[in-house]
Amino acid sequence: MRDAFSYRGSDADTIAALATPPGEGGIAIVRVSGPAALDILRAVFRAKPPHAAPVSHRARLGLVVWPTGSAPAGFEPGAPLDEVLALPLLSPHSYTGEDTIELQGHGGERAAGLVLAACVAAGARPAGPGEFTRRAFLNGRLSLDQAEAVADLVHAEDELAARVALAQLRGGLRREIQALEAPLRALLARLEGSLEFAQDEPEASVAREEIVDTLKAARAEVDRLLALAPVSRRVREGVQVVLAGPPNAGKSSLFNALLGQERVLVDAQPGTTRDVVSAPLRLEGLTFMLHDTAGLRERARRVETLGIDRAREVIADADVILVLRDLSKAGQADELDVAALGAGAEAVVLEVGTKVDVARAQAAGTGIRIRTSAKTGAGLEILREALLEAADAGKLRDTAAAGILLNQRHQCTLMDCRQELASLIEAVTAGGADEEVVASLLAALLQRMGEISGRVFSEQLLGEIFSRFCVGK
Amino acid sequence: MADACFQTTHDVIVVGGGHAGIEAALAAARLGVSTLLVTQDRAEVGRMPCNPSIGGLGKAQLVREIDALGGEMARAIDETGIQFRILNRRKGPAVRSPRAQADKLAYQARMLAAVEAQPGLSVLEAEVIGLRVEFSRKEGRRVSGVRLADGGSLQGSRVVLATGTFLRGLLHTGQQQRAGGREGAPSAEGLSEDLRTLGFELRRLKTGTPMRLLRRTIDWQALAAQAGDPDPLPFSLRTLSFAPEQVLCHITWTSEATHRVIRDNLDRSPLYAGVIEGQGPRYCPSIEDKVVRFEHKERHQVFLEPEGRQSEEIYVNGLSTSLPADVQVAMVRSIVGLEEAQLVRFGYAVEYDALPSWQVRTTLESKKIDGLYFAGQILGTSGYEEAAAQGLMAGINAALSLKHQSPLILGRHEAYLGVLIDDLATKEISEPYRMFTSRAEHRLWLRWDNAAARLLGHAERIGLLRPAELELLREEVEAARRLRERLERASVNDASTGGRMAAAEWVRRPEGELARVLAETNRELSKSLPDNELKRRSVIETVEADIKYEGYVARQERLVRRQAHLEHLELPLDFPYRDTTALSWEAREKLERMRPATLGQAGRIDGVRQSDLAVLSVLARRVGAAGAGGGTPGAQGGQDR
Repeated sequence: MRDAFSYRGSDADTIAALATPPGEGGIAIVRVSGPAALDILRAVFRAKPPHAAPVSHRARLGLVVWPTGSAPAGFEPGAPLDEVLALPLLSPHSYTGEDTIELQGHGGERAAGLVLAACVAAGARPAGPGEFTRRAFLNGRLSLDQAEAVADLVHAEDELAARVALAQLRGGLRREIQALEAPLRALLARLEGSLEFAQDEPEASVAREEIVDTLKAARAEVDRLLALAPVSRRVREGVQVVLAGPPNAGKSSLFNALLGQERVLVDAQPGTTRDVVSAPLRLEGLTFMLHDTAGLRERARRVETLGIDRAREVIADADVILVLRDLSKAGQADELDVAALGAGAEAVVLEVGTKVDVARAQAAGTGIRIRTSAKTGAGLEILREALLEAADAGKLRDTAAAGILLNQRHQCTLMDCRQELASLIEAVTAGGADEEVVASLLAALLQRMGEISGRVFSEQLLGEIFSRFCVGK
Repeated sequence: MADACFQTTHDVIVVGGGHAGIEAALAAARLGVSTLLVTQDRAEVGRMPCNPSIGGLGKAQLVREIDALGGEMARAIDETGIQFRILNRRKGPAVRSPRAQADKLAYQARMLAAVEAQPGLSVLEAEVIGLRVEFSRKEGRRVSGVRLADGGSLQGSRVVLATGTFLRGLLHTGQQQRAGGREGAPSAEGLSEDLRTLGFELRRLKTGTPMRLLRRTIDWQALAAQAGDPDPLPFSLRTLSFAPEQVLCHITWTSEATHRVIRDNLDRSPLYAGVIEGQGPRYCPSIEDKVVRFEHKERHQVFLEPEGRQSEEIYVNGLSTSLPADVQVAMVRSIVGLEEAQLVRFGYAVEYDALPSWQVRTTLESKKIDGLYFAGQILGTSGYEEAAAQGLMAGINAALSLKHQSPLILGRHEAYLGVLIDDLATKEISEPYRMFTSRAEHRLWLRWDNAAARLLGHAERIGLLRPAELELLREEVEAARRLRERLERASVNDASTGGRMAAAEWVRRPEGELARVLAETNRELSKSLPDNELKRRSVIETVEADIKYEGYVARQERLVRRQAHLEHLELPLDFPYRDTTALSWEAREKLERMRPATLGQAGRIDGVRQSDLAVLSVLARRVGAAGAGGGTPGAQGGQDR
């Protein structure tokens, strides 16, 4: 089991962490949870006007200060660190089920860091990743399923992924696995009956053909679920889009134009982009991860070599490859062979013309449908639509809505099951595995499947769930 | 009670002289602690009140395991069996199970003789009506002996209760009821109440037995005969010559007329009239149950089994019933071959008090009262073999605890004995428990043929077997190992390719027969085999099964290994489940009552969900790390309770 889940420290201590992602938004929240939360509030918070006792779920405006005698060198004792809204959430009516306080400040990241430091000076321990959720779970505020869904939500790149996490929570995948298990269970019951009551029911043996048929149907079902893995990955991690093309084909300009911001240094000198630059693009609730690759060409300058290797990596993982053609140039010296670059067979390749604003009539690639200009914005809409189509956006949404997306753990388990089914089919077909062997392996297999449907407890799951959290959740 | 000079203090007192009590008493005495067996009737020791057979699926494995550890049952049936057959012969070795018909009287006499000849073991005829229990603030409650119906009492620091179906036993035939432990034996009324007073939960269970027919009134010519196997192997690993003279069993079928008689009289069945409240076993249904539940089945098989070589009584396997006597007569006479049959005894159902078995630990010692052990039907099991298995383990553990040695707790991966007792410690009983091979996750490994290999290490430590007997087991295990090695090295012709292949590889194939390899290859291979013919066959059987199953066992292990670590995570016996708010309500209640020893056991308790296990796995680790005085785990957020 991963160390992330071994419980450090006793649960008598109080933990604190920044609850909002660093560097984003105007409000930074410091969350403190544990038996000493209210003491810490008293130590670091000066309400305006002063107030007697904290009331659960009622926010108070005030200042955060260093607790008495703990101001580090360079800080005035008693000097305000930030103006905050302090929100006490008393046990059990908090996320963790413990006494919790939330300090919401407007002073930005640095001020929030100081607020956290003040809480730690007052006796809180900096929380580990997922520790708040773990406490919530241990205090019965969250079930394990919910904890896993929370983990997925935390990681959700976009709205669709968040919806999937919720659908998952409602049991989409669980239902699929149960449907997969049902005929195997029925087979197991008949095998056991045949084995245990042979004397009473002499004719009860299960025919090999029937065993094989049931196993094959299950394997097909596992394959169907496994086929959802790439779709699942697209929803969870975004559709991987690579911009490829010869140097100075306008990859970075198009990249910036799609994102609507200057993320990549653009230079007219070929080979400016020395590494892969990636940024998420949101389209209709889906995430597309755009990768701008180094200019790909045969004779790369040495300094660029690293960037080109990395480019090949992202190309290998790509769902969509945009092959850019400079429409302003006459003829096309070197055809870009994406297959030679190691693109997967599943990848959709779209040809995209660039610099259509300065295109020459005699330019090559007149057959290209998507003709764009980063400068004027021409053709970008068509490109976006082409991206949605290439990513099979409809299917992504359907699968997501059904809540049957697989994560790494699910995929691993299913692949295990598939392998077991395959070797069992082979053994039964060859006449090797008798009823009792099939029954024993089937029972073990169902046990393994149960780890996905949640019927069977697995500690690995526990470790995986909580190790996926970031600090503050 | 006993005469004045009777010694009233023993180390271990075993109450009940059935299959559990015998093994418990013999094991304890053989381990050198002074032991007393208390029975209502000495002549009834070792009696088989129901079917005249031992062994069968899952059960034969238990018998072999009992034998490997030094129990008595296997040797007794080897000596008194009158027919030996392998069930599931055409299926794989892991589910092939021998079963023997016993000569009931001979078996009983054999067992009584063993008990009477055993040094250090005395037998007393008396009725136990209660326990003597001492309380100390430091150690809690501890048993110190038993109280007898005649007002006397006996002292013993370990007591094994193996009272079978006698606790408030109530026999039903039709609407007629009478108190009794079984036909012709009085029930035990007081002990039930005493156990309840001591805080034990009890529940009503039910079982039944068919009628017995007079041998000479059956038309044998009209029936199909079933013979025993020509060359049976003995149950005991210690039996070195075995040539039983075998008798025939016969098969007949119920008819439409039989079913009509039953249906017409269902209102007179205590089961259907609601008179019987105890839950009966689903897998061993009465004939009225079968007719009702499988109404489309035209006929049910009936086995006619002699109760002994000389016995005039024929056991009617398949017709267990509690219908009134006149219906039983009509029912029997509607069956081919039984048209003129006379009933010697009527079938009946028996209701009795049993102790839901989660009240014992995996040593079979009570969780509530130290020194008190339970074994057999009192824990809700059914079957002579299951009873003997528990008796043996209770006897061994009682003796080991007196000697301050660590108890014998077998894992589910080691023995059916382990599966049985682990199930008992974690299951709510809804019906009498019997062994099935499907209860064993490691079925391909827990075989009849390899009991010696599986249990040799434990047998050596416990020391119930005499040195010469242990040597026999060692030789068998060693011979199998040697043969296995040679098979890996030796090669045979591969008909499919014309080349050579490892002999073991060939045996692994579906058509590969080890006996053929040994017959066809040079004599070098056979050199490693024991001289004794029975042992040779036994070794060949084991090695062939080992080779054929090897790959599957490994794959199955790989799949279930992920759960194995749960077995090692111990849960403190005083874990504050009730205050652990993170657990589901149902789990809190179940765990509070059952108090499992490990996380693995907790997971086998019905109603404990995977999320509960997740919580426990964290908390148990934390409690373990904090040691004693670590506070109330998981309760800190529980102000909402």
